Amino acid sequence: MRGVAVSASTDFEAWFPMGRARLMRVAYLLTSDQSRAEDLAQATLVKVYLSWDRISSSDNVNAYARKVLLNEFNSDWRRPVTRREVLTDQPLASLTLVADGPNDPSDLFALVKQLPPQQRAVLVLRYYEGLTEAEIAAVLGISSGTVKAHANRALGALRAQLPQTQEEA
Amino acid sequence: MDSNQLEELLRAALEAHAEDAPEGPTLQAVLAEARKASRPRPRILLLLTAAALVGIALTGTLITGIPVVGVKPFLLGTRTTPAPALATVRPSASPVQPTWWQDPCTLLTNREVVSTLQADRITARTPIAMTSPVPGNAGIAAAGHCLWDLAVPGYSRGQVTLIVQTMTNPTTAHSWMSGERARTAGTVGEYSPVAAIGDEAMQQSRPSGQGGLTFRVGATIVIIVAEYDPADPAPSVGQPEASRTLASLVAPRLSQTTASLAPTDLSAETSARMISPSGNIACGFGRADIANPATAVWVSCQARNADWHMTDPPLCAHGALGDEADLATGGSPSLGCHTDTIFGADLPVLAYGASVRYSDLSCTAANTGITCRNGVGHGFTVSVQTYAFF
Repeated sequence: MRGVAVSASTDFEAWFPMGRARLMRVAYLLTSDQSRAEDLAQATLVKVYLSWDRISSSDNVNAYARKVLLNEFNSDWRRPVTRREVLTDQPLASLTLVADGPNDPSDLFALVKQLPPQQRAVLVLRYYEGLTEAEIAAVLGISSGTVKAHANRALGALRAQLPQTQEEA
Repeated sequence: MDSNQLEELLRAALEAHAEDAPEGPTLQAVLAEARKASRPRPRILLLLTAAALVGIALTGTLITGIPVVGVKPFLLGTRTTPAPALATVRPSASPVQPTWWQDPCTLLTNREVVSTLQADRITARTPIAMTSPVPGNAGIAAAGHCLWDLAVPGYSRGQVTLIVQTMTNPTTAHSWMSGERARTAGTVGEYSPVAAIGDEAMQQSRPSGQGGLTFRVGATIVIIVAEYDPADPAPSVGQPEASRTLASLVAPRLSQTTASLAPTDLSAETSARMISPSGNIACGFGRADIANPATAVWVSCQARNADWHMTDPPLCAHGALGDEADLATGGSPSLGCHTDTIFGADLPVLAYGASVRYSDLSCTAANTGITCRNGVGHGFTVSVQTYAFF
């Protein structure tokens, strides 16, 4: 790996708070796990920093950082060794929420967490980041048709849960 | 719930959950991680270097198979040239006398060879004596060496340089590819030595070529020959020097046809050879399939010390001689290269004016040369001075 003068540039320092917060939110939505979200964000921020001289002049550093984050996420969930159990002292709230049904928006996220990673990523990029299908396709490195398919399947899976829970509510 | 409602609910859920995201790594943590990432990893480099050195040492090659110069592989050696064992050569009590114009390397085949390689060396101190059918002729293999490839039993070849000394042309040098003929005792095992070759002729050497594959068998032998060149190129009919030793089957018949008009028919023979009265032109008949008389036949005539030679190609391959005219059934004549010779001891003489027939081929001797023709009227005339096709 090439050597980089590791000293925080003024531009990076200025970008860091907002960039980190944005990346952390997306990472947390993708992973639903604080530790994994921090790992993803840190790996992404390091790469952004090491590439800062090259990307800082571009118009959209955030888009680059998002792309790096999604690459890290894809690499992460595809890597078997990362499919590990995380020890935690927190209660399994999601199971409770699912059992009771999504009574509020946060409950709906409990269903989102159960979606496959690619479908979850599509929903996050589309309904949180507000990207178009084409932009999502570019970020994930897949075709627009695949993006649409992932979105339809994901929404269909959510809808299959919601009417029943809505009626019960 | 319709799609819009679901999407709105989803947006709200994502927004709400995103608020729970942790703060994330600090700037210092990111910079510290960046320092680690940008730093060379000596342990990995050390391991890779060590692995590469071990691999080169074991195989003598890089991963790509490129040999590393100066590295001799061990353990997992991937030698491309297996080390052949040295040959064991022993003399025998039954000497072999070389014959005239015989491939000098074939004279050295009479050895006991117990491995795949044998190298014989001829030096000036260990010459090979050679005999000639012409009285007074003699040959000496004075220097050179022969290498044998016994991976193919009975097979040897090599580059041979021959220097012929005659009264009229004392230093005629010829070079041809020796061998490419079956050895008389080709299998690995007992060979008899050549009597005239001394101990130095049995020197052994290790090969330098690629083992297991075709091994370059080279031989360079210088033969100095003192050859008697008769002053009269056309001796009297029926009294050539060589005719005194006629002993072949066809000799009597040829003698009887001297100067007769009716050609002697040798078609029943599988092959036949003859020589001109002067001893300067020799011809040989043969057929494509000796077991089938109906197959095509050919005749070749060679002129000794000819003033002409094959010019296309200008030099015969491997130094072969180009003083041979060839003719076959139904074809046109041509010049040919040859590494062997039709000349030999005790050949029957085709007297001037006599003819011989071999299937549809016929040859007639005259004091101007030997003329051969086939059934379609094509043929050649060969003499020492020139040749002609028709």
